[in-house]
Amino acid sequence: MSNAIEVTGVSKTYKNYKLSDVTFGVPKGYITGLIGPNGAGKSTIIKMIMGMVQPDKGSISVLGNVLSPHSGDYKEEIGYVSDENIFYDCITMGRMKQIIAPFYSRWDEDAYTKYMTLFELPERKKIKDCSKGMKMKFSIAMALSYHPSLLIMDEPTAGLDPVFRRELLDLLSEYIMDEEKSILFSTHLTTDLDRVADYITFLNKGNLVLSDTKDDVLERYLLVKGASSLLDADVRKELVGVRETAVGFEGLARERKKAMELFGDRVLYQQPTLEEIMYFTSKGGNQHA
Amino acid sequence: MHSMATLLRKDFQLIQRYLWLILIYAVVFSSLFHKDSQMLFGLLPGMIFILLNSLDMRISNQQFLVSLPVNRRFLVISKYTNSLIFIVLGFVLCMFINGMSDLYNNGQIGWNLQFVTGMLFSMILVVLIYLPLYYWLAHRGAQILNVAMMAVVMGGSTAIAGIINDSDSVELMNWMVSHQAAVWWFGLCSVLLCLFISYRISLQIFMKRDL
Amino acid sequence: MNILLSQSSGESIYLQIVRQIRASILQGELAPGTPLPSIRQLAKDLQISVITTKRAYNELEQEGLIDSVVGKGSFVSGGSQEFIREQRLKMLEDKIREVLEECRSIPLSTEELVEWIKLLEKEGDSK
Repeated sequence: MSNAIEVTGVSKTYKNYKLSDVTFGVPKGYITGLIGPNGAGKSTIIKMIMGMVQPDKGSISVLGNVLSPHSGDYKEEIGYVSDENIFYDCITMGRMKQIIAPFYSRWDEDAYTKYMTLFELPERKKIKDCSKGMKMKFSIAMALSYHPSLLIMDEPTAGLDPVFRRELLDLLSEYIMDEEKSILFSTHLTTDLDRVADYITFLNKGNLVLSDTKDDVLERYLLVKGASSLLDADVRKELVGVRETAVGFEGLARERKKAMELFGDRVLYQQPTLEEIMYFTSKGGNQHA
Repeated sequence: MHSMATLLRKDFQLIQRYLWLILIYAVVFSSLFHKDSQMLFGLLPGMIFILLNSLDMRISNQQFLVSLPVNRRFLVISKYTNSLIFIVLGFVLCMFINGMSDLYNNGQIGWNLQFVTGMLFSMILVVLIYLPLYYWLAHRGAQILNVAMMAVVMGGSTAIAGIINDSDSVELMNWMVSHQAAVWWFGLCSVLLCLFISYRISLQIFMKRDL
Repeated sequence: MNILLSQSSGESIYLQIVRQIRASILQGELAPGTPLPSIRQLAKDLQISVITTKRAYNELEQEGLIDSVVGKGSFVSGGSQEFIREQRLKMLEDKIREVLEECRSIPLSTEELVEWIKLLEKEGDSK
C-alpha cells in the first residue's frame, strides 16, 4: 500500500517546545486522523506538509514529491483547510473564489456552485462578516472545488455545528469513494469526525505516541476500573495512565491480553474511546486526580 | 509564467475596491487643484504601493499565498514585478490626470520627462529598499514599516522634487541632459544592480521563513 | 437489508455488521447472488471507517457467506446452498433447544409439545 504522505524523522525546535523525530504515513485512499492535545505539534506537522514551516531535521514527501523549500507545484493536488481563516477577509466570497480559481487547472465551477448552495453560503457576503462556521465551510468548499487528490484539514470541526459535522462525514466518505484520494485531518477533540477515520496518528508533546488503524488502536488498549489496593508497581507498569480517587482507580492498560491475565475478574473492563486513550496517555503515569 | 500572471491578477482583484479612493486622491492632488503638479508624482505611486503591500501583509494572508501551488521564489518575484508594475501604472495615471487637467488649463504642461524619470527612479529605489525590510520584519513590524514608508513618500517626494528643481542642481541637470546616454546607462545599471541585491536578500529571508 | 449500529453497545462495530449481514443471509432475506453494497458505500452509509467495513466483509468471506470478485464487488455466496441450509438448520436447532428448555421449566412433556405443534400446523392449513 502506498502512502499519500510520508513524514520521516521530522524534528523542529521552537522556543517553547519541540517536535522530536516524528515518523508516520498517511495511506492513500483512506482517512487519517491526527489527534493529540493542544500543543502536541499537529498544526506544525500540517504546516510542514503545506510547506509553510520547514523541519530542522527529517524529510516529508507528499504524493511522491520530496519537499524542499523550493517545492510548490505539488499543492495543486492538495485541498488545504486551515484552522483559521487565511483568505482576504475584506472581500466577498465570490471575489475570493475569482482569486483562487485560476491557480488550479482542474477548477470545477459546477462543483463550486454545488458546494456553495449545499453549504448555504452567499457569494456576495464579505468574508469578515461571516461566522467562524461559515468561513470554515467556505474553506472546505474551496478545497473541494478543484478535486485535489489529498485533502488536509487542520481542526476542521472548530466552529461547525453538529448538523454540518454529520454532513461533512458524508462528504468525506464520498470523497474517498474512488480509492485514489486521501484525507488527513487534525483535531484535539475526538469528535464524530473520528467515526470515519481509518487510521489514527497520535501526537503528544511533540512526540509520536502511535500511528495505526483505528480498529487496532481501539482494540489494543483496555480501560480498567478497580480498587486502589490493586495498584502496585507491577500493575502500574502495565498502565499507560492512572486516575486515582478515594473510591478506586481508573487506568488505561497498554495491552488488552496482558491486562486481562493480570487482573482476572477483580476489575471492571471497558472498551476505551479515543478520547480516553488520549486523556490517559497525555496524563501519563502515577498522578493523583 | 501562468502563476505570475495569476498573482498579478490577484493584486488587481484586491486593489479594485480601492480604485475610487485612488482616483479621488489622484484628482484632489492633481494640477487641477494644485499649482505644484509634481506633488502627485511623488504621492500617488507611493500610496498605491503601500496599499498593495498592506493587502497581504498579515500572517494569515502570507499562509494563504504559501498554500497556493506556487513556488516561494515565484511569490517573491511576483512581489517585485507587481510592485514595479503598479508603480509604473501609478506614474501613468499621474501623467494622465495631470495631462487632462493641463489640457483643461489651456495646455500648460506641468511636468517634463526628466522630472518624471527622476521621480520614477527614486521611487523604484525606495521600493528596492522597502521590500527586503518587508520580508525581514514580516507581519511583526511591517505595519510600522508602512507608516515609515508613508512618511518617506510624503517627505521624500517633496525633497526629491526640490532637488530636481533646485537652481543648484540646474547645472547637474544640464550636464545630465547633455550626457543623456551615459546617464541612462548609469541609472539603468545601478537600478538593476540594486534590484538584484534587493531580490536576493528578500529571497534568502523568505525561503527560510516559517509561517 | 438493514444494518443498525450501536455506538454504545460494547460490541465492536465490525462484529455488529458481521452478525447482522450473517443473519440476513441465513434467514434467506438476501438470496444467493445478491450484490452487497460496496465496502466504501457501506462505510459512507453507516458513517464508519472503510477499514472496519473491510474487516467485516473479510470475516463474512472467511465464513463462506459472501464472495468478493475483484472489480465487481461482493455477492452473497451462491455455491454453498448446502452450507447455508446447514447453518439455518443449526439456527433452528438452537431455537428448538430453547423451546425444550422452556418446556422443562413449565413443565410440559415432549409428547404434549409435538401434539401442540401438529395442532398449530393444522390451524395454519385451515386459514
